[in-house]
Amino acid sequence: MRVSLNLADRLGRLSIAGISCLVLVFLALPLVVVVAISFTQTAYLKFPPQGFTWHWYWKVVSDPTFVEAFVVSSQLAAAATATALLLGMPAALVFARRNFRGARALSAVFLSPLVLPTIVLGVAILQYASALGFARSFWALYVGHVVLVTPYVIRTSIASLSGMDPALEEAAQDLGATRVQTFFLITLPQIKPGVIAGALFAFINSWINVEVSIFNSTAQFVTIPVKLFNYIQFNIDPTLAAVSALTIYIAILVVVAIDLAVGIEKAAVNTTTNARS
Amino acid sequence: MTPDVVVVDRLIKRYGAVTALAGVSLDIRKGEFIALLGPSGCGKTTLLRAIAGFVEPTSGDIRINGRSMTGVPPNQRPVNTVFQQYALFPHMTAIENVAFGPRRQGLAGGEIAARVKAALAMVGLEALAGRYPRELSGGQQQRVALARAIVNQPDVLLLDEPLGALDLKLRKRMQLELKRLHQQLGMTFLFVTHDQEEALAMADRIAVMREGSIVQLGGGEDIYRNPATRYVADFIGEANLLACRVGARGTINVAPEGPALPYQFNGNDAGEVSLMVRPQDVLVGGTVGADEVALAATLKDKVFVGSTWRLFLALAGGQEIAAEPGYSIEAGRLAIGEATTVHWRRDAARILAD
Amino acid sequence: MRLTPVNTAVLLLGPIAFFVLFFVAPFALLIGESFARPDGGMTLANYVAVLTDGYYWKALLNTLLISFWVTVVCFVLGYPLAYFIVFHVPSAWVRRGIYVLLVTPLFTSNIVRAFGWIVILGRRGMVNSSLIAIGLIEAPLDLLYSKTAIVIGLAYILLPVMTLSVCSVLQTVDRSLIEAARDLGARPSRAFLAVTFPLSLPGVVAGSIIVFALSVSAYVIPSILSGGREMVTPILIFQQYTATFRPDIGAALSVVLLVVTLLLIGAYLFFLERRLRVAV
Repeated sequence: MRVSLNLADRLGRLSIAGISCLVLVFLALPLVVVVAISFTQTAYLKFPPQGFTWHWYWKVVSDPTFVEAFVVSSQLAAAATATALLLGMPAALVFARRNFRGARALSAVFLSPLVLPTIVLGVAILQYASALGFARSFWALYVGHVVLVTPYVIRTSIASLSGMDPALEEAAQDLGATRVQTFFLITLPQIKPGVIAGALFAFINSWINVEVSIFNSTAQFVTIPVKLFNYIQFNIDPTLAAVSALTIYIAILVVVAIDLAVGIEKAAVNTTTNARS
Repeated sequence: MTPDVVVVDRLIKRYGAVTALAGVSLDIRKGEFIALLGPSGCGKTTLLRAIAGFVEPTSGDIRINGRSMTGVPPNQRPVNTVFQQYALFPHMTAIENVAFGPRRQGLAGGEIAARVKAALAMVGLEALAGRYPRELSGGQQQRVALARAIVNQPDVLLLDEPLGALDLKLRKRMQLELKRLHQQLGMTFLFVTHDQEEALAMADRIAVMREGSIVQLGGGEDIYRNPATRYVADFIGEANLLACRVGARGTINVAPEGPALPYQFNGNDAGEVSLMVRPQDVLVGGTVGADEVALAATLKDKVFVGSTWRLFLALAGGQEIAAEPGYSIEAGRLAIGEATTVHWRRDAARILAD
Repeated sequence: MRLTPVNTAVLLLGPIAFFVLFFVAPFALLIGESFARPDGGMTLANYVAVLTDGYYWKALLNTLLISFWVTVVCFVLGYPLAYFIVFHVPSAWVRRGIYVLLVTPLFTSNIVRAFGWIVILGRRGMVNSSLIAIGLIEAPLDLLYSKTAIVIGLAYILLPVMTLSVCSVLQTVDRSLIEAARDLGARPSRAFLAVTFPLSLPGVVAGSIIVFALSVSAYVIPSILSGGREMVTPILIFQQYTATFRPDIGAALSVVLLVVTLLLIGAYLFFLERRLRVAV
């Protein structure tokens, strides 16, 4: 719209741009600060950081408890994501393709972990696992995380499936493919980007979770966020900054991966908004 | 007599309260090119999809080469479909798309390669075999879709408005090409379209559909000359439909009080019927022949449409009639508001009851 | 591809079994626990305790108050940003960069994000050292460990959620409507108030309810940024399991939190439903 704008309108446009830039700085600032401070040469937190050193990173990678927590987090997130794919894709296929009575209610149940208080999920799993004798173990963490991240796979898969031309599947069947062949030869390749994005959302949300993990891990057996949570109660130092910075790098890697898979704009708007698909 | 390859037997399909197919029966002869013609919502696509196996009929049966298709899934039916928007697999090249069907049949590698090559040659696309669908033009995609369907040598090839997405010029060319392909392959083609010109240009027989039923089935010229109903007359070609009243024995009158015209109508007398005459058969002015019927008329408007004049005239009772009398100097000279006569050979018109 | 009832059953078997075993059953057990008496009977005593004791009440009200302010801040900051992204950013690449900036914090642990604010707001943090450096103050201010710090921390975490929610609706606003308003002589500000804003309200309401619900149930940020000076319901729940060892009270508090969230989600769904009906 290149219509002549008067001064007030111009100021309006300018102030929106100004506010937006400030908000973007607000969004980036804590992460930038953490990364910057992880390179400081001082033994305490100082901003702006002084000098430049990899010392704190070396300290982290040579500390077996941090390394162990990284391994636990990675294994847990990988296992939870794999399971979420196995559970979420079939469920999405049904919700995208069949409208039976109760389908909406059922999909609401599957998606509800996105909005229910995760701390309550953590408590519920703790009590349940205690009753069944697997409290504070990998399996307690695992089932909690699967419940937590399956909704992401379901949601992105439904979005991909409903964006797909239904005639493609019909064409495959018309040409002699069975249902199973059709799914693996046609449907899956078509929805692959969405499924990858969903898997990445699932992985990262397992990776960063505190509330479910904190109730279901022990002092020795912890994930990275829980380890950080315990650490931050007593020490606020550049080591903490280095571990935090490492998790930020991983977050950035995942964002880039999602951008390459489906484009970050689409993925962000589809996956993080609207409790129901 | 050639055997029927497809027999559609009293097929009914209901979606809740909506009836998409209201008891359709249709026998398709081996090797013929048959068109299902009708406006959108007439049930033609539902019928095609029922034959392909994507629509499960509420009742009735479809037999292909004598075998009932009830309960047979699409992948086990001896038919293939060319889809409206082609439905080419975007993640496969043209040649992979074409090879998809033969691969599912578990043919030997050499056999697959030979068939795919032949099918691509048939549509003239050998050179572009390695391209992905998005790298092909609309017309080229259309050819891949054709090759992908014919490579399986189906008993019937189903075509669901396959030319709808192409521009007019390309459509005309593809019509001829489809016809050539049909002749070369000797395959049975079932073609769905809403374009009467397309149906006339290509099909051996046309089934005109309306509201889930076939209202007329026959050769293109036959339907054009002898439409069974006003609906068919109006849908195939252009038609003047003059409201008439059945008069004294062997006559009808153009409503409200036109002269008696010598037409036999074997229905209830004093009933309302229509007189159907094509604008191309209507002559304006000049002498009225012995075997012609004539009515007085006034010229209301005229349009030059290229090779000829198109005239719009009002009859004495107020009804309008269009005429396209070929090139004639008199028609061009006629002034608007001028009185004249319209006339046509008696047997060029038809009396239609409904 | 049409699925037969048998296909549907086979596909849903795994997901339903898993969710019944590890989602429905644990929640059912938790709800059962909230009514449990030590001797095994049923009682409402835990709820009576939770709902009559002023300490628990105050925490709940504090939680709701903080959530309210978080929602307000998210709207005030998130709406202009969403509007800017959708209408004013012409370059797809810049927009992409902004989305990366929006999503990266979402993919970072709450602890890390809280830690960032500790660095910024702490006594030797960025804000204090800058203010001292330019001579505005002499001694560092106590910015951390207050309600304000919690609101800032939570708003920071939930701002992307609000922004993306508004973006998703603004994207669907028919631009020709705005142009029509402009064409009819409306100034941009007038066109915004008369056309764009009302059309974007569904995104605002949906985003607000989600932000509010997630604030109410947030544990990590209040726990780190309160410094023990502010009490919210999720912290209370945590304490029942780790300090006071009253899982029955913890269960009752959890159910209260669950009910508050479900009421909010119910409001959200009700609103969504009405919006759909209006759209149809």
